[in-house]
Formats: sequence, C-alpha cells, structure tokens
Amino acid sequence: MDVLTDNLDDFAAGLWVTTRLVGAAFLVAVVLGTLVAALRVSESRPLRSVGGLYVETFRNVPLLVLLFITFPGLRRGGVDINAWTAGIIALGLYTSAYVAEVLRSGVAAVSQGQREAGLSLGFGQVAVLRRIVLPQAFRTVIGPLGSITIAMIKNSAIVGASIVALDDILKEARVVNSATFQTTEAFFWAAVCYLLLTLTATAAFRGLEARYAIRR
Amino acid sequence: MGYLFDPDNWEWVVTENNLGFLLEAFLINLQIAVIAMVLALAVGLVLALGAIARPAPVRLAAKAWVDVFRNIPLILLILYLALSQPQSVRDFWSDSAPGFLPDALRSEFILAGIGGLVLYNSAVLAEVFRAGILSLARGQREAAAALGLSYLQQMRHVVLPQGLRRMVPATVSQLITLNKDTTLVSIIAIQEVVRSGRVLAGTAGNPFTGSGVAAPILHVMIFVGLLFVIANYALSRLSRRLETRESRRIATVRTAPRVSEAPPA
Amino acid sequence: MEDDAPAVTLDKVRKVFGDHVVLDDVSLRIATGEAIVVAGISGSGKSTMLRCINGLETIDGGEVTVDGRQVGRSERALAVLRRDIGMVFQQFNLFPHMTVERNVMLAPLKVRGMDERDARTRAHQLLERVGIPEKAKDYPADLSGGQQQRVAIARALAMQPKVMLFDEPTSALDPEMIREVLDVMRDLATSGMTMVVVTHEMGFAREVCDRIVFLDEGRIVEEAPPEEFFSAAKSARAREFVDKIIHH
Repeated sequence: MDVLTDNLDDFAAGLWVTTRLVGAAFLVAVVLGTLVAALRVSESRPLRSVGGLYVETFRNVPLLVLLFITFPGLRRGGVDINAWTAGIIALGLYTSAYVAEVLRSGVAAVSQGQREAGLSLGFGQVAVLRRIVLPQAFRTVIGPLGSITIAMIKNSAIVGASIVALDDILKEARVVNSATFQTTEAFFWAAVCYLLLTLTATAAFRGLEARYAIRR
Repeated sequence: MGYLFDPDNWEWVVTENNLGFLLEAFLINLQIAVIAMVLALAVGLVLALGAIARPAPVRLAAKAWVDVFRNIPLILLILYLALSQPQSVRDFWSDSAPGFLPDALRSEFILAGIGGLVLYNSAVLAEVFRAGILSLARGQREAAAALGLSYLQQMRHVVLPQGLRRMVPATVSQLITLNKDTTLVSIIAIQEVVRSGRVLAGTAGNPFTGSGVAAPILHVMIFVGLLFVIANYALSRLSRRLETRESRRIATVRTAPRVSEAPPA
Repeated sequence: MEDDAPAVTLDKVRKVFGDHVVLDDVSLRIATGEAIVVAGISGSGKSTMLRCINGLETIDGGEVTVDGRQVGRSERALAVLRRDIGMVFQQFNLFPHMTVERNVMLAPLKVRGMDERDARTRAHQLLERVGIPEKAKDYPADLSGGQQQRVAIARALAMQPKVMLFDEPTSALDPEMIREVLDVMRDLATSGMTMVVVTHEMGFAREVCDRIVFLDEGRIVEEAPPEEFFSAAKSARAREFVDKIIHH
C-alpha cells in the first residue's frame, strides 16, 4: 500500500496522460474511421478499393511498428514531430481501421426494408441515409465502439512502453519500480489504474447502449 | 516524399544478407505466435468451462480471472513477468532449453514473453468461447438433457462440437492480433523482427557492424509492417473462407447470433 | 384407470418466477397409457407444467413423480429419470451438427450404451415409423419443419420412454406440415403411449386424447374428457375458451 500512497502523484499523472492520449486518439480514429467507412460504402469501385486497402493495412500491422514509423522514422526523415503527436497519430490510425469496419457493418445491418420504407414515404436518398439509416446504425455500433475503446486503453500502454517519451501509467509504474524495487506493488497499482479506465469505459458504453437500444 | 522513395534509402534490402536476417527474425514471431496460441487455446477452454460451471465459487473465480486479465494491457503483463522473474528461472531456462530451439527462444526472457501472451490471450479466448457456448440456443442443451445425457455428455456431444466450430472465425482473428502482439517481446530484448529491424537501422543500442549502407528506421519499419500485413491478410482470408463455409452448412438451424469478431487488443 | 399405478403425478406443485406465480398448487394424476392434452391461453403455465415433469424447470413446492420415482434436483438423478421420459420441443431442437440418423442414435449409444449396429437398426425402424426413412443421412438443415419435428419424435422414442411430453409440437410449423406431425402423434397415442401434450390444436384434442386439462393463471380449473369439455365445461373460463375456438 505504501507504494501507492508514496507515489500517488506519479500514478495520478500517469492516469491523466493515458486518458488524454486515449481521448485524442479516439477522436482521430472516429474521424478517419468515418471517412474510410464512407469510402467503403461508396458507389465508386476505386474508392471502395482504397478504403479496403486502408482497413487491411492498418488492421494487420502491429501498433509497435506503426509507432516506430511515426516517431523515430519520421523524425529521421526530417519531419519535426513530437512524442504526443506521433503517439496520437499511430494509435489513432491503428484504431481507425477497426472503427471503419464497425461503422460499415452498422450501416449494412440496417435492413433494405427500412430504406425502402423511407423512400416510399417520399424521402430522398440523402434524407433516408440521414434520418433513417444513420440513427439506427449509430445505435447498433455503440457496443462494438465500446470494445474498441477498451482495446485502445490497453493499446495505449504500448505507446508508453516503446520509444515515445510519454509518461503514461505503465511508464510511471516502471519509474516507481526502479526507484523502490517493489515490482509487484508497482505493477499491481498500474493494473488497477488500467482496470479503473477499462471498467469505467465498459460501464459508460453499457449505459449508452441501454439508453439507445432498439428492440428488434 | 523524396526521402521515402529515394532508392538509396531502400538499397539495404538488397545488401548482403539483410533481407534474410529480417525474414528469419519474422519466423521467430510466427513461432512465438503459434506456441502461445496453442497454449492459450487450451487454457482458454478450461477457463471458459469454469466460467459456465454450475458451482458458484468455480464460476465466479473463473469469471473474475478472465475479466481481470483481459482488461489490463498485455505489455504490462509481459514487462511485469520479465522484471519479477527470479534469477533462478532465467538461469534454468537459458541453461536447459532444448538445443534445437532458435537462439531467440532460448533467451532468458522468453518464458516471460510467452507467459504474458498466454495469460492475456487465454482470458480473451475464454470470453470468446463462453459467448460461443452461451449463444447456442438454450434448446440444444435442453434437448440433450431431456434425452438423459449427463452434463459432461451434453458438453461433449452437443455443446462443444457446435460451439467450437462457431468460434473458428473469432479464434483466427485473435490469432492475427496475437501475431501482431508478438512484436511486444522486443521490448524485453527478445530478438524478433522489430528488434532485428532496429539492429539493422542501428537504433537498438547494439553497435551495428553494418555494411556501410544506410537502413533508415522509417524504411525498415515500413518493410516489417508489410510482412505483417501480408501474413495477417492471408490469415484473415482463410478465416473468411471458413466462416462462409460454416454458415452455409448449418444456416437454417442457427437461432442465436454468431460470435462477432474479437475486438483489437 | 385409477387402480393402475399412475405414470405421472403432480402434487400441489408450485412454481414462481420472481414474484409471479406460474403454477399455483397444481395436482394431477396421469394413468399409464393415458393421453392428456393441456390447454389454456398463452401464459397460463402449460409449458412450465410440462417442463416440471422432466425437471427442466425446478419446482418451488410440492412434488412430481414419474413412474413412481420422485423428480428431484440432482442433475445425476434427473439424467437417469429422463431416460424414461421423451420430450418433443416447439423448436424441434435437433442437433444441427449431426445427421438425422446420428440425432436418433446419440442417446441410445451414449446413455444406454447400446452398440452401434443395434442403435442404427433401431434408428432406421423409427424413421420408418415416422415416415422419413430416406432422410437418414441428411442434416437437419436440409429437412422441412414437419420432417424435423418427426425426426425429433423418433429421437425421443429411441430411448423407449415410458412417457412422452410434447411442448407445442406444431406451433412453429407451417399449416401444411401440421397434419403430418399430428398423424404421427395420433398413431403413438393409439399404440398406448402415455402422453402429455401441450397444444392449441383442439381438433387433435377432441379426436385423440382421453382427457383435457385446462389451466388458467397457473391453476387447473377444468379436467374433463374432450366431449364434456367442449360441450359442458363447468368453469366460466373454460367455456369462454371453448366459445372462442368454436367461433373462430
């Protein structure tokens, strides 16, 4: 317990860094993911292929490798990128592929019957998408987006553990460990910090899901 | 852009044995993935059966175990195991590991690496299995029970054959994730492809005895990433093929939704 | 009939879901060889009562016996008892990963320890009896609903049960397939099988069964032979039920 109380500031700082990292990367992932999902469902075949290539690339490449590309890789190539930006971009790119897939299947899950019902009421294509398809798709993707967020929280530790100089929860645990040699305690409290985040996210998304659920 | 496409910056690929050096290291990743997957499948199945067992203490303990280990970062587990592993265990493995294993798999930290991968992935797979078993319509269990089959017989003849078949696609996607996660053991100094890439690029701390041709870390890592994209894409195609074949086979009897793809982890 | 040892008895059976009383002091004796239809509107507790007989639902009070043996709570004892109780479900519940023949053979092989050849011979006899011997090697997904339900009956019969339970066996079927399943059930009743049938098929009840048990809000409010039930039910609820059937 001493390990926690003596180093409370460090753990709290780490928690805050991890939270900001995940929050920023989530925004990047949702924006990119939405764009890519739009490519994936577009009428144009080349655009669909571009979307497909994007998803297959970022979903199959290890996050650690992406981090080596965005931080030391770009810096040595003369791009002046800082640790935060590199970490957010890598985690955001990696996650955006999953977001795109979830959004695409969410749109696909809205039945043709719903579209046809909208069209026969006199709505145009765009209005049907906006008023009927997207609101329903949003509800079905809440659950999967929750899983993605939880995965992101866990993956954020890879950012801190690799070369990027960000003092997230795991980094703080390692600092505390080398100062106190209390390995088990240091990592235990780090694990508790991560559980705090993942379980909070789980509860939040469950709440959203309950609120917007549609009975089928 | 000029930097990225400058042929000079790619020359390392065809210089000396650099390519072989990287591919050999990539093979280590695949080996670690297969070993960890086999162990994680076995442990995951036991945990899943525990999580649906009738005695409440067993069920609650298995569920708590699974929920804890799938909700903390894998890299945290790997680092912890590596740092807390007693010297005696390290020595034991580096002294008595079978000689036919590649050097990387005889490294003193490999047990921590594989241990972390198994601990994390068995929890994730247990949840996949549990969901697969529970998604089986309740009627299937009841029909088996009504015929007089015992609990173990119900599991063996009715629940698991259907449940396991249904889990194949989710299991393959977890294998893809696991394959990516093998790169994390580079952080505990195991010589797999990311670490070998850093050696080539001269950023691993080792004095690089290179060939005099620059291997920029950007280019090396893009190449390494490509290896994973190709291998994992092949795996995901395989998974999709299995999935369509399976859904064709028992299409009309399926009443519960199928297990969704495992989320990225 | 009352002199024979009863095949099934329910004595003051009580079943509660949360604070909703599903079965309220239900008592019933079913003689060996008797075919009973359990009727009532949905939610009256019919299926729950049936499922208490083979222990798929645990009861909160009272006692159920089958063939003189008490239906307890231990899974092991239940498994032994269930060998002698066949059950047919609304949703068929055939095992989709096994062929029709394997579905029928599974319990004789694994529970009775019968050898492969005898089990197969019996399976084929039973498939003959339910009228689909040619489907033995097919998978359930390739069969129509009516055919699947007939396989399910054969599967239950393969254990040579003393009692057969039917839980709305025709409710999930298209109208043109109901007949073929009811015909199999009629033959079974004629052959002297003890049967408890939850169904909305009042034509079947009128022609085939020995007695109709009418449940309303978890209580048995009427027990009568079919002719009496349809012409002169004593309770108001049962008369109302009959009126609706006749006028629809």
